[in-house]
Amino acid sequence: MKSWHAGFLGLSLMAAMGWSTGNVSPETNPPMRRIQTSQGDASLAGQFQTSVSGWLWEYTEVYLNNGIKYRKMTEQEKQSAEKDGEPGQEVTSIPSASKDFRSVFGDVERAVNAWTPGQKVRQNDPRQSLPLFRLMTWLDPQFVEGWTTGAMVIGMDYKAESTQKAMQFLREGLKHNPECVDIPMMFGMIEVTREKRYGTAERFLKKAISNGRPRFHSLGDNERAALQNSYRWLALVYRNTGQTEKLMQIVKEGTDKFPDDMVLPRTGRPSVVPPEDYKAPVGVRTRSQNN
Amino acid sequence: MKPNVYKALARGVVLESIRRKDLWVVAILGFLILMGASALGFFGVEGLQVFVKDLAVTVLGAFSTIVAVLTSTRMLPEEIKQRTLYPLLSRPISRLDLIIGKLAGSILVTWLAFVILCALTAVALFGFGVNFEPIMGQYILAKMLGLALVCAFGLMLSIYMTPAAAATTTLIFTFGSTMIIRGLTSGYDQVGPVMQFVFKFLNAILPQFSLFDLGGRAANVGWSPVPLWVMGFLVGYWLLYSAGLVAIAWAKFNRKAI
Repeated sequence: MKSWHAGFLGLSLMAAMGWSTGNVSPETNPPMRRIQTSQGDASLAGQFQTSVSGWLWEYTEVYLNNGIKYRKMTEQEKQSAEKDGEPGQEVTSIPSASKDFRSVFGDVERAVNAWTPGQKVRQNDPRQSLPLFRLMTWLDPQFVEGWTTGAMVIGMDYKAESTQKAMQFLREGLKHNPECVDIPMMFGMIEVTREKRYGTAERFLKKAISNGRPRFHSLGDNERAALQNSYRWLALVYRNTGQTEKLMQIVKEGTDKFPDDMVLPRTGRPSVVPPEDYKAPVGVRTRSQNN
Repeated sequence: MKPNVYKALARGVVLESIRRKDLWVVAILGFLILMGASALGFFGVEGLQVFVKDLAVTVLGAFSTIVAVLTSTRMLPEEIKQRTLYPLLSRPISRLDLIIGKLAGSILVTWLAFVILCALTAVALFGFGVNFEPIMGQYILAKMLGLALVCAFGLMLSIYMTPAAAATTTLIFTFGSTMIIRGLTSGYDQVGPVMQFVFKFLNAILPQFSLFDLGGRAANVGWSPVPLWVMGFLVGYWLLYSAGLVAIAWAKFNRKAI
């Protein structure tokens, strides 16, 4: 055996080892659902993308408030505000004249920036912040709230074209987060409320429940709420399609998981159907007339 | 006052900047802005005026500040390094004249770059049918004053530090100015009287670059132009603070063995 044979063999062995470890990656570094905090710079591993995405999430509020920036109050500020009879959680980043030691510098800063006293905030159209949702989901595709909130903003005018765009946005989100609860729930909700396609809605809502059920105890607040809503919407689908047995079954399963839910048990009760000779008062339309 | 001297020195800085192709870099950056703006078509720009304007003022502010910092912090050190300072000082001009002339030159280069970037951005924004409000004019004016202040700050630091250190420090102060001031205002009520005095002192001596940025107001909808006294204050602050910086720079440069 020549010496270069040993070198070649060693190199091959190392390459084989390196090659085979590719399958281990999903185990050692699984795709994680990102949770945005109220601080844009919060990221355990200092992940740049998540930080920027979190900052963009925060920045949507600036767009909504027509450029006015707010910050969280300190404990001392909260106590002081309560004493003044104006309790709150947030305060403008640039302080008001009465709380600013800078005299004329403070006056000039308030004049050159987007600033008004808290009560006079003009709200912008949320659609102005749409590019931010697009950017944050590009940067961090695992940021599920970015996808769901973005879809709501896209489809907020209830036009058919906007609904389609919102669904397209959600489809992209679902591709990146096939195991999440929120996106299939949102799909189901849109299918029920806008498209009235109960079959498709049922499929999505079942998917949301099957994604959430196995890890019920480790779900975060948002996913937990999404799971609860999935039960509610699915119950509504069964009620509207007359599938009473399935309705009772899903209500039972939902109330087992969420015993405090006040909505779900009511969905299971039969609707009050007016007698055939019932005449609605003038100006009032019954549900059947609306449909 | 020697206007002809200042004019000649400033002209030299502008020509040097053109020779070094700094303004080409600005033009390329402007082209990138246009390219970036064309990508906005993806979102459908209708109804997204705020985002487009916000992006424009952010890019304008960032690029023009970088040009101001790089131009102002390397002029004098390079003159010293390349020994081109000697023929300059052999003429009947004082070191103070030299500083003022160089500062005027760096301000001109920065303003030129800013105007080029503004023009290119305006083309992009007009292309998207973005409406401009009168405050945009004030934004440009205040920004130009702010850039002139950055130049004075950078030039002063370049006399005390190496060009790299001066550029880094100037960038920290220009981009971090808001953060520093915000820290002072937030913390003021929670510290003792001695620290409150320190906070007031810091607020008085630190350069208030953020006062010259009307971007947040210009990018959003329905904000009225700022009162005239505010613009007057900005001009006054710029003149006084720049004069102070030039004086500090001159105090060191005058004693510097070259």
